[in-house]
Amino acid sequence: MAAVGAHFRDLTGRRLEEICDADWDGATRAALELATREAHLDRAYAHHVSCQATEIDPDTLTMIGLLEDLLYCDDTLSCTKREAIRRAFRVEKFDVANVVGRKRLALRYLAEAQSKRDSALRVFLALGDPISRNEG
Amino acid sequence: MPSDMADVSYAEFTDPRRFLLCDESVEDYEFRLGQLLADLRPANSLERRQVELIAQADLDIERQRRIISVYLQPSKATGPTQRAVVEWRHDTYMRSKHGDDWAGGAGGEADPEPVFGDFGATPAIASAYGANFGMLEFHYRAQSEAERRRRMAIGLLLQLQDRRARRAVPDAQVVEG
Repeated sequence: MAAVGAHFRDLTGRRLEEICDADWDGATRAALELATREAHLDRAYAHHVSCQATEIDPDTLTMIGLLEDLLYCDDTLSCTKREAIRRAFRVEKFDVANVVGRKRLALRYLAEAQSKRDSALRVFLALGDPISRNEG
Repeated sequence: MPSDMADVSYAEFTDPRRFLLCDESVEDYEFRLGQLLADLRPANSLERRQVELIAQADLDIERQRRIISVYLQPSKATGPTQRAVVEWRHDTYMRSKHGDDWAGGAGGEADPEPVFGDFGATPAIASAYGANFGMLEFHYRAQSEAERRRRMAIGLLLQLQDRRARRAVPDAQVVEG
């Protein structure tokens, strides 16, 4: 909410709390919508960046390490070792698919937030910042 | 740093620490933003926000390129499981050869530093590409998305500046008779 208020103040020069019921015309609503979309865009971008890690998840590495320990255990049967290797590969593959899925989703959220923000900006310009009736 | 960038205030912009990775610096980002502000000369809060979005998209393009280069390092051709299996097989072979006297030790080597201009590394880079295809496909897409966002932000900024310029032109008047 604070982020929306800050964007609203940047756009209109007024604090959100100062707006009384009578002031809620189309232009003010468009400014509030744009401020909300700007705040969403900031959050979506921060989320997109936070998903960019290139390292493998530490829990996945621990699990692969545990399966690796089975290979060094002399009492383990060969078929169990083969299964451990197979499962370690599957765990790694699952982790990669999970990370790529998360990154893809974050990118999609960002694209949506950007598109909605750009639309809100166009509405704000049309309603709240008109140039003249002669505009082409 | 040019003199007209020295007095730029970043207080009205989003705090960059919210969207920087640990290998990126606030100073570099602010320098980039300052250069864009000096070049594009925004006149109001809407235009300044557009410049900020251009700077963020710029940063994201560079970030995606950096991440792609990390996934294409020869050391990324093998995943942790493959490395563990190779190490175990090596250990098993050495034990069969030297018996229980062999104390081990081949494992745990750090990834080698990248050597630039090494044409012999191409097969390893190709292997790294194949091994990390899913990740690379995403990051190439993220890079092109960032480039698209940058183009859109520049387009919108130019529209805003065009509107500002047209505002200075008085309305046409209809003269009757």
